Amino acid sequence: MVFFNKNTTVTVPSLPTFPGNIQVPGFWINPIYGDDEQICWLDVIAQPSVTDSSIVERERDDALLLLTSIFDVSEVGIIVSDRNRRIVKINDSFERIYGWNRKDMLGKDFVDFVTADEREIALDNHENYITSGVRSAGDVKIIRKNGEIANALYTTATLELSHGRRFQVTTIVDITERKQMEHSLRMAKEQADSANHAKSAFLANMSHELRTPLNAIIGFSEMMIKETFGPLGHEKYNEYLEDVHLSARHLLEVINEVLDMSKIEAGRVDLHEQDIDLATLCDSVCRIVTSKIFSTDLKIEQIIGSDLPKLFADPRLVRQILINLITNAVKYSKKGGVIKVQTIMEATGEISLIVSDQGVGIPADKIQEAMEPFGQIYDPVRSSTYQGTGLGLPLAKAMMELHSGELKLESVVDQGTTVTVTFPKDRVKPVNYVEPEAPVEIVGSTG
Amino acid sequence: MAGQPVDHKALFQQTPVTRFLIEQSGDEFVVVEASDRAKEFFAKPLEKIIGQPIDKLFNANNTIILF
Repeated sequence: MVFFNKNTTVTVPSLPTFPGNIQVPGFWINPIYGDDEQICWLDVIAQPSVTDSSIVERERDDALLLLTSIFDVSEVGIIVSDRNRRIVKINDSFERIYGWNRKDMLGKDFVDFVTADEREIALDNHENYITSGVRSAGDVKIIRKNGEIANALYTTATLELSHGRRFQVTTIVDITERKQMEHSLRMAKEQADSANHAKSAFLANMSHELRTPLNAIIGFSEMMIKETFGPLGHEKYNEYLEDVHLSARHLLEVINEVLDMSKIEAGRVDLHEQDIDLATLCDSVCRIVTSKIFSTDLKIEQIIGSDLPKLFADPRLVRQILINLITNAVKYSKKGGVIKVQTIMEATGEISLIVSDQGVGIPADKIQEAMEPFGQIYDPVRSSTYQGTGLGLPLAKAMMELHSGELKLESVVDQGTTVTVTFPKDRVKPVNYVEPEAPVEIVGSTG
Repeated sequence: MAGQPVDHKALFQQTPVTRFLIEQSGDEFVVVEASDRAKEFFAKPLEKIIGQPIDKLFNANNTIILF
């Protein structure tokens, strides 16, 4: 008993054959001391068997079941690949999220399922894992079976099995929706910033547009009130009255455009539709505009087909569309330019109105901007040269959209702009349309 | 907490593993108490275990002692 220290438990391993064929891995032996502090008994306890094959099998089965359950019920995709990058296992989630079947993937190189621009990174990561077992994590783009690209976050871990077999376990979380949401939010913010910027700039421009005619009205009327050039009746005052009148009309036009745009944007415009004789309307608008460009040397050509079908639309808005387009064409035409107003009966049954000029044109990258409300003022050079709210084109576009039609703009800098508005087939009342033969010219200048 | 006194002997005997007490008797180590599971382990009734020297119950082929 001398080999026992007080309160020391001795462990005795045992060999696997026993009298009763019950296997125990060993015994715990505890000394029990008497009152004289001498060991009087040894308490021998058999250790529970852990070599019982049924227990080992059950525990192994449980562990396998647990791992398989985790593998299969996991909401993230899991790929297991070997040291040669060959896929040896994928879970249900990976199949479900990315659309691939196991038979599509097993035995394939996992980089085949990564987009071409990220394969180099995937190969480097794998090389690092092979040489040093270094884990990696980050973003990856996965190719879905339908060819779409999915954004994902991945994390790799090393799995070491018996006989030195090493596998790479990659967990993949799909973040495509999150990326799309981020992109949408970013786009929405950019659009909001852009709209905010445009509206701020518009207000700055509008103050100029409102002040100029108001100053003229106030200035000239004050001179008349103070009778600067003598009593009323002086011929100078007649000129001032014309200036006041023109300024007031211009002011009204500016205010009307802004109000029209805001009403359309607020969805508060109702169409008052009726059958319109488009040829008469075109002619009427051309004559109105021509009267305004009387002092210029611009030329307006009408190419309007005879027997043009009636158009079911709001005449006030269609007139406004045409006025805006032709006024724009006049505004941006060069000296001696020709403005063409044309109607085309499309083979699809739609009807188009085309207004083209030979003016300064719009750079390709500015066309979209010019179509947006308050877009004109983005170009400081143009806005300083050409007055106006810049709402003419966006208003025409919005009014066309109210008619379920569309407005297209083509332009080449220094060569001119062509705007085509097309009304849908269901607004056109079919008749025997005859293509126009020769243009009818209305010349702005009388020489 | 008052209650029925613990029957240590019964508790010892019902220990669900093989368990026994050894006492030195002269030059021998003799089993003086054994749990019920010890009967299965040694494949003997208790009366053929208790009082027996331990080297009669084990043999050198199935036990190795390491310290």
